[in-house]
Amino acid sequence: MSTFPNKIIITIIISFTLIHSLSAQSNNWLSVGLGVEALALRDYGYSPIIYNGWQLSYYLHYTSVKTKKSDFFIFNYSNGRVNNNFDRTIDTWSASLTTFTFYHGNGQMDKRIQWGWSNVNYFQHRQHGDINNFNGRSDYFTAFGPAFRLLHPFSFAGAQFSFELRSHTQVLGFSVLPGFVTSSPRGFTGSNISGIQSFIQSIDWFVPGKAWHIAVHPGLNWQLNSGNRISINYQFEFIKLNGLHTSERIGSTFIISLISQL
Amino acid sequence: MVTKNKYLIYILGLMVFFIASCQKSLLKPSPGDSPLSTFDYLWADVNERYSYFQVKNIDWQSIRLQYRSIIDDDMSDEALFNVLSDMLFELRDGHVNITTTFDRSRNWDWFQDHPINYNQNIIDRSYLQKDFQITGPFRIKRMDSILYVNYRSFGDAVDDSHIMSLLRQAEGSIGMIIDVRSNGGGSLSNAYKIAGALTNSSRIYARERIKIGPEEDEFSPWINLSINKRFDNTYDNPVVVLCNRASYSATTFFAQMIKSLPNGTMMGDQTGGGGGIPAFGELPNGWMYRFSATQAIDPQGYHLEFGVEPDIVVSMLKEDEDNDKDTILESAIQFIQQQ
Repeated sequence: MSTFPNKIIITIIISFTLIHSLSAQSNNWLSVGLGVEALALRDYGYSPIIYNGWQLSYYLHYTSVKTKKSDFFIFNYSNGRVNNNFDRTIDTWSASLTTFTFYHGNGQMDKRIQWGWSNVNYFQHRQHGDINNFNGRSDYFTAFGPAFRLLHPFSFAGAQFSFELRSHTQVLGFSVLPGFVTSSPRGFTGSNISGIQSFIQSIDWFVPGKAWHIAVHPGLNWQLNSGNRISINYQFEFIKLNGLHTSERIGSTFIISLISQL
Repeated sequence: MVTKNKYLIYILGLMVFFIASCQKSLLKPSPGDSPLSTFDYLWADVNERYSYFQVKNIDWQSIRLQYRSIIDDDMSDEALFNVLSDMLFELRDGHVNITTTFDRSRNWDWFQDHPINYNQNIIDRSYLQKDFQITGPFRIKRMDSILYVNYRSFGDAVDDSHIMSLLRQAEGSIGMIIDVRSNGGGSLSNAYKIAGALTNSSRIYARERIKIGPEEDEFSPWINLSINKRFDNTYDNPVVVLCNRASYSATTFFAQMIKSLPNGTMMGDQTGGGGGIPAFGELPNGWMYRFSATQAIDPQGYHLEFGVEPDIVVSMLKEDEDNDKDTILESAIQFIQQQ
């Protein structure tokens, strides 16, 4: 696992280099990004204490701009270590695939305010440093919800910039969370039934009140002469999942991305 | 429209910074670590997740009343530790501990109140002596065509190469003695590996269920625990496992595994118990704790928490001990020779 981030970084650099060399004009964009996330999390299944720390975050982002809508596909992988005031640690990693669809009317790709929807597929794994049994707790959810996008292009010192704000929250979906005692979900705890049935028995609804996901992504894009972009983004993300125990996390991430038109 | 959008941007920008600065308010602060809130937290978690209240007929509510009245928010860490330790002692469970930087609570009555029936000095001087083999965590000696295997802790890792070596050393022997007296337990996976070399087929040796909810009787269904053949070669001559009251936790499970074998015999004293797998937690003041969150029973329905009874009860005789002789080991040798 320690070499995994290095391989990802190299892959991202190579991918971007290859992509950047493509000069075909289209309305599709590919972006690779690297971020640093300040993470606070708490897993009541283990401890009532908040753990804080840092994660490295890696992003692969594909945007397809069509006449009436824009689709975004964002893959993220993050890993790091958090600790509490008593020097206990949790090693954590997460992977997510987030999609957005924004509707902007016929040909109005740069429409200032756009509404749409998003889908988040999120998995997080936590390995506690000080426990022997039932260690390795994971959360997973898939959920849909409304999304909002604000675009504001402007120029400064002869260069073209755009400010972009995306915000979304999930309101309907399902989650699979650890068991009451075990790290495996409840459908797999003491179960003699098949894998699919166990999975179905492990599902909780993702609905407001039971689960929360809110994210805000402001960013500043700098248009290069080649038509590609450099982007600096901030992402705030809040997740709270109420299963047999509650787990919650807040992440603040600063991301720098290279965006290339395909 | 341009002015409107500008204002909108300013407002949204402020929102972003507002959310970012208020992020900590979305997470409730960590609970207070006063003695009273620490006590309440521990009592409540044990109340929801401990697995043996009904089996041991423990009135956890009245224990709360008894010990909470002693708690004083001005008490020192050591005083709080003593109260919490005393409260947890009521569970009569060796898998229940609080760990602090200055001490670790424990209940060792399950072996301290009984004869020990094991003397490492006698084993070293009279049996292993100087020409034994150290194979991973095992100390192995061939004695009178019998392979003697001394294993001190299931926390010492066993891998397949150790088992393969053990089986090679057992070739031509008429029996095997596995001495796990005073083995306090460790990883159950090590027990499965050893037992996997002693069985030709899958055998159910116990059943287990896990707490799945906060009510006292909220458990998963019972699931079978079985040992399975792990190696091409298995040892099918008589196997005797030696236990005493200090054989605990994974050792209790191992003893039950051996008892399930047609060629397996358990000798010595009953094990100390430890049939519940401990779950861990952290208190608001940073202290770690653990307690049993599962139950395990043998095929007859007897809880492993109370220990596994030997097939043949043998106790160490003082006169033997005075002469550097291990009564239980000698009985095991004699038993195998008579098979």
